[in-house]
Amino acid sequence: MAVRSRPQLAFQTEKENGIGITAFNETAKLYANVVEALDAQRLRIFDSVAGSLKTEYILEKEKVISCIAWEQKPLYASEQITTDISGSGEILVLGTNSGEILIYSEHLGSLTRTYSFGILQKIIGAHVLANDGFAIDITGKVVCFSVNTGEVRTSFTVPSSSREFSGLYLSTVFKNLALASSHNIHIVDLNHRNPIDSLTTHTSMINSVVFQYLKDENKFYFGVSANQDRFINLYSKELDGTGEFPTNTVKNVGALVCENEVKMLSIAYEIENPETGVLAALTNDGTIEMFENPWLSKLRQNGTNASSLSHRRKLLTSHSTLKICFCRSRGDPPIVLESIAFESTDSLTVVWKESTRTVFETVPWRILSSQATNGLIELVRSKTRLTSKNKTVSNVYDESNATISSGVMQKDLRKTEEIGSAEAMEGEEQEPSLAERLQNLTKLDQQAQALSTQISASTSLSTVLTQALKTNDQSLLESCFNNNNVETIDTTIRRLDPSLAPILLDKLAEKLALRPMRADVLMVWIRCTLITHGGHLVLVDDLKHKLANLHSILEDRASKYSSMLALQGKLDLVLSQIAFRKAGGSKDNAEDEEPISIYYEGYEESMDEASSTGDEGYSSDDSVDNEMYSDEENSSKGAFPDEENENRELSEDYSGDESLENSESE
Amino acid sequence: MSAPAGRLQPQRFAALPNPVTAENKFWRSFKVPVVAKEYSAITSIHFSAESPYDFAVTSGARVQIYGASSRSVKKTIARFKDTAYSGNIRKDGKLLLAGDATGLVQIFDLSTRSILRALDAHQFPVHVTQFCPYANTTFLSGSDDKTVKVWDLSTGAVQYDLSGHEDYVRTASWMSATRLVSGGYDGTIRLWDTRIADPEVMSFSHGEAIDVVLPMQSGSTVISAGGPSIKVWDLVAGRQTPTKKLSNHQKSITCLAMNSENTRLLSGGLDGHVKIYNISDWKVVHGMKYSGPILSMGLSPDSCNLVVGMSNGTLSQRTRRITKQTSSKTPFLGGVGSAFGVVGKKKQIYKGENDEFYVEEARRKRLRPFDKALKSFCYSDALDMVLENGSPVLIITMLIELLHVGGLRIALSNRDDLSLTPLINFLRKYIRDPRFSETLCIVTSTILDIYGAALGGSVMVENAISKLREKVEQEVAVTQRANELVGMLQMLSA
Repeated sequence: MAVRSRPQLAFQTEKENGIGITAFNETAKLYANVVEALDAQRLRIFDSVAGSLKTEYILEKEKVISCIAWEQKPLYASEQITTDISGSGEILVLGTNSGEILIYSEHLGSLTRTYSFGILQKIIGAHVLANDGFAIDITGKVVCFSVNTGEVRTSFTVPSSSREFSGLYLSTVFKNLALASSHNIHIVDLNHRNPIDSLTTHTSMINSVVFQYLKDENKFYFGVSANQDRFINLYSKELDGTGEFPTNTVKNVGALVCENEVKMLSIAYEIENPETGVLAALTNDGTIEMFENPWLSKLRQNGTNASSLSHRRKLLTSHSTLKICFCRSRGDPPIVLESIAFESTDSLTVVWKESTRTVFETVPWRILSSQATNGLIELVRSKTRLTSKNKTVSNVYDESNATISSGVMQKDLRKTEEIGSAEAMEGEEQEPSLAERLQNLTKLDQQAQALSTQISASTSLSTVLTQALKTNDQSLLESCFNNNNVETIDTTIRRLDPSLAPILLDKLAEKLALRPMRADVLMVWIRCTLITHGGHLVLVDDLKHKLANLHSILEDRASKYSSMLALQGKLDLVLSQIAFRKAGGSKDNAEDEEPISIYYEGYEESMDEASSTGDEGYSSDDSVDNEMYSDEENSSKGAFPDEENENRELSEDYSGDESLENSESE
Repeated sequence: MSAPAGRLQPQRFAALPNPVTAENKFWRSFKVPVVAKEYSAITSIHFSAESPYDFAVTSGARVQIYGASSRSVKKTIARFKDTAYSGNIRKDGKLLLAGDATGLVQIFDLSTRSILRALDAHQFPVHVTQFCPYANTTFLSGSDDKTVKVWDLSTGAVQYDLSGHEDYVRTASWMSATRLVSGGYDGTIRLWDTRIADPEVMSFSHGEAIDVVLPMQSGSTVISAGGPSIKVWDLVAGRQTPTKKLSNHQKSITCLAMNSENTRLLSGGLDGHVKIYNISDWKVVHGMKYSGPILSMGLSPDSCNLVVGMSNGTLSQRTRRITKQTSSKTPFLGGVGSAFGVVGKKKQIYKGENDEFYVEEARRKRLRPFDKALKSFCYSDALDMVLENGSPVLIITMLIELLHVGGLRIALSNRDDLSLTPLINFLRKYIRDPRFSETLCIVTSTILDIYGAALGGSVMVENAISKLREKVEQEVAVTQRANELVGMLQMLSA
């Protein structure tokens, strides 16, 4: 079926501390999410087809991403984004908590623009349609800007009774038509900076909006879902083909009901045949509910005027035609999914987290729909091997994962105690008197002073190291050696009892032999010890014998110096040759060079000798990469039958090897 | 012709130092942990001297008897009015003795769990009770009323009332049928002999409140633990200074134990560590970490079960599996088999007549595919086979073998990027290992010789090579520093 399908962009915004900010691009081939790392947030881009991580970008520490969206291709003519921003690939627009807009190029793998307009607070929705960028902040202030230059085209505030906004959704069909969402939906004409319509749709915050334009009816349909709501409300807006948007033409055309609260929506329809749309709703428990032809209400289907209001209502609401869920085994609760998006009208891409991995799967739902039982498809995905590996790890002794055979769980016990003590506390709580407060203040001061004097002690590991050496505790020792901060190592060794230095050196030698890759850090330790405790080590009798181990290991390592250095030189030579050749240097040279040999009739004998010496270096090259020089060789063949022979002789060791190799492999 | 004959023998390298000692291995073999949670802190663990070495665990107001093999509760004795202390099983495994916080000392019949004796002579909590291992009817009790009492079981009367401690008595132990040692919060260890009129024979000052004393089997040494230190006292010399002071714990030591051979001392402390000392030199030979502050510990007499009780009520049992020696066929069974016509499966081989000399065929191990390839001069194939799924040592062995037979160049040449990359990746991975680096340097040089700048033809190979260069650069820096350090060492030990 050669029907082009145009799925809508699926995205999801507004989650605390950046977790759960995800977006699929228009083709559902790329998936971006923002994850919380130790210090800074990371932007990860996945290839949903291959299911692999494409790139990871570490954002600056203080930047907290609040929304994310891929570039959308508008259906109307528009100015393109310059390649230095997009890298001729797709771009991703990110909004931060502090009102900044970041443009990330997927091809270049870096942030190419950072715009700060100064008037925006926490951004909750940002979009890019070709060169037009749009952003809305939490107070409803909308800014339209040029992506290429960062110049603000218009900015205004959406007048609304609600204090908080949740997103901005743009039409790819009509320029300047947008939906701003809070508890309500505001249809906005960006050109005239005025809201056309305001609809009261939900009682809670709207989390997802999808829309579709039906040309035949000249109507603009959209579906709205909100947090903690099972209903998806559907509306239609009539347009009068003048390019202006008339007001008050919005009609509620029905509602879709899910079994659980809706998390996000996704829609897909075929461009040629827009009547056949399909809407997918992802619910909080991880089930996907599919609604085919969502805009086609039963009311219109029946064509009759329903007798009573309740009957009308019943006809207006419709249930899903198909439910899909993933579970570990049949009957288990479904796996909670992170996001969904349509690849085409027939297949749906699904993402979920498998411990730290992100798993993608494409569901050909129309094909699978024949297997549905009671309108539900359960897809069993057992845990991956990765997690089973973790299980074997847990065999290592640890009280926390050991099986408890009797008694009560201490955790539960503690809870009850805590409740008891909390209740007791409430009774006793009283405001401290002024004198008590003063005392507390002086105490705090003293503590602060004490802390400042102890800082030097806290940066050293000498106590731990002493204990580890005394008790021969390998794991404790390992925890010390893992430290690679030179300053810490230095202070630690300075504080160490000199009598322990020989033991420390012995242990270091052992580690060095076992873990040659960690030589960098371990040698810092050895160096510090030798320098700091050198004075004491000289006094130790029989030191040579005691440190024989260390000496031999170091000497062994040191003996590799010259060969390694030589190897480095060789590698340098080869790599720089490669670089040189890539730059086109060798070709230029080849052209500039004088011909290697010139054929003069009558001078044959004398020439042969001269050319043979000149060719020696060259011939080895020839035999290695025949492709590069084959042309030259061919050309020379006819002219120098003698030289050709000589070449063969010179490269005997190579060609000889080859022939041997060939005969053997046969 | 220098064709390699037979199987490739793996290259041997100088043995690496092994940080795991035999001692570590032994103590690590205590695994298969089972954890039980009790309501309150576990104050005492005592093993029965009788096989199967069940043990009594005292926590809160009850004493539980755990089965050694099932490692779960067999019996529960909860007939205490207050917190119970020091559940102690008699050496024949029939009676249990325990003190409690009211000062009552009770003796239970373990089979029926009935109270045989309830003795109320102490006014204050009794923290320690112990049956005399040398006489069935004698036991001791030590109390917070600063006294140690020696009782006769048959009459239930106090035989000796030993007073002398100036603070709570928290630990006491039998040294022989008539001699005792006790320690208390006054920081003294006192030795008592019940045969003489003035029973206090000797006393040592530990310096800190003593939580546990342990007499050694020889009778000449007593070990005491108080605060974060252990002190070893020599009774024969009778000196007031300890012969050895061990301070390997960060916090108070709460329990001591000996293994049945009297060669290792175990100590557990509030820092959650159990440390094991070799008593010949008092060096720590092994350490174990537990999740909570340790209050009590017991090692079964057959050294199979290590039980540790913690202040948060966790009871951890670790068990060592003893592999049974597979007994060779007893002659009796063999006889029976032959009697019933069971014929041994061993094939009869003709070994010749008496005057003939039988030459046994030497058994050869089968050649592996790469051995065969090597034998038939397919050097390149042999190397590929090893590279595909061989241990690093095997790969190195193959490379060295190829060097020796002069086939390295053949094996390395005529490769495309797909077959060259795994080799370069192997080089990159192991070139920093001093055991391998010499060989690998030669291999790398050979590759560079053969291919030279043609390596740039493939992006994959070029990437691999540039990564290899990074490694080599790091190694150059390391070896340079190693040279410096060797210089330092020479200066110090000259």
